[in-house]
Amino acid sequence: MVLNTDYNQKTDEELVALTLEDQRVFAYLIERYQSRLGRYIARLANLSHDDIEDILQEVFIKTYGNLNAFNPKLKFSSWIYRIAHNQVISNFRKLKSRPQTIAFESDPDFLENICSDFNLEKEIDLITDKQLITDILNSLDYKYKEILELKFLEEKDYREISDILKKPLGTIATLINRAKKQFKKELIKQNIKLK
Amino acid sequence: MDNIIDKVLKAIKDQKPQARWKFRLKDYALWLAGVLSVLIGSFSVSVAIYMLVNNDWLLGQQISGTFWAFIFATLPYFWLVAILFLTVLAYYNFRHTSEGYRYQLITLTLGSVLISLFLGAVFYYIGLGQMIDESLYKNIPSYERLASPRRAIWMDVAAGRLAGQVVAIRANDFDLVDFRHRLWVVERPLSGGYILNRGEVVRIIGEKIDEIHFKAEKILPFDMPGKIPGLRPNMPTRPLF
Repeated sequence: MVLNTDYNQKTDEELVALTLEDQRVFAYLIERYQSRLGRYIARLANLSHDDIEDILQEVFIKTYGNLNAFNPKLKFSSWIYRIAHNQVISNFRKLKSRPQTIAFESDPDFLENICSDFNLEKEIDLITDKQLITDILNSLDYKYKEILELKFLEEKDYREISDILKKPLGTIATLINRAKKQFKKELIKQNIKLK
Repeated sequence: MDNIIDKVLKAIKDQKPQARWKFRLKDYALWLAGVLSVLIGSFSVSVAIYMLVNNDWLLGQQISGTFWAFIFATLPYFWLVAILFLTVLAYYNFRHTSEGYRYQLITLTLGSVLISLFLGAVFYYIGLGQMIDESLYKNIPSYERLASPRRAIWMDVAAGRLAGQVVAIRANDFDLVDFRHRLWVVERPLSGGYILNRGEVVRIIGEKIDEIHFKAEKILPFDMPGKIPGLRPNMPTRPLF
């Protein structure tokens, strides 16, 4: 499908309104979100490329089917991430398993974000310690891994994370603090210096 | 993932987004259920206040031995559990509205409880607590055993307590139908004192003589109409059964 550049200038919310009038406009929303959501799902679920694509398709089909439920008070991105999050959880339930791995190493910005936020010393050897930090993150509880992913990989603010996970702001702040504490504890165990 | 756009568009080709009214209806239904939970919770609060205010505090030790035993025996457990259940229900409903997740558990529960307490106090003050209690008592056979500890306490004839409605008055005795619809012939106390009215609901301290006779030592009104807020003044003449 050839994309019209005029539509690319429109906001998500405008595209939602236009999609409700013309189904074909939905293609522009898919185009805008397919890579981001694909990566997000890949990090949440340790699945094959085909399985990830199936989940992604399901996310877009559900998004279209529920387009009238979109609350303009939220960011569209928060809403579609929420659908993706729910679809991943639903997939886990279907497979009767819990997610085991979050592929944090796939994003080069992540390490920088987390080092900065956790006050890790600058001289940290990013190449050597990258695997170590990834291992530490993967050893955290799933709820902490997920929230760190939203915060440091997807770079969502508290309000957006609250809207995606459907939890109050206070709970999000608590979860992030606990995730950081658990992460720092593991860092200290591994002798990685903090500022 | 190159062809995902085509795949999704193909999949939704014959679909339409669900109508907006369906989502709104669900949200309104949750709001309505939440508001109803708070409202019914307020009715429960009004009955609980009515029961607590109208309890036999002055006779507590005489009835149960100790003040604390009396409190444990007469707390309106049914209504307290109802208030708790309705608070949980209100929380569940509000939490599941479209933006309910933004509020903390404490905000939603404390909000529901405070509104229920305020409305419950207002409802009690206008006499709704008493009205609900009596209406349930009249219409639900096991209500007295399940949810009205005070009535149960005044049905312990072996312990010298009897209560019910006066249905006939004679010079030395009167007929009384108790809360379990049983007829008693009650011998008046020698000292007299209390002026009985037909139709009035009274509580009596005395002694059981046999299966239909009871000797009264002290007669008191079951409620204290007009003396405390929340009790309707016309209460003594209203038919109870």
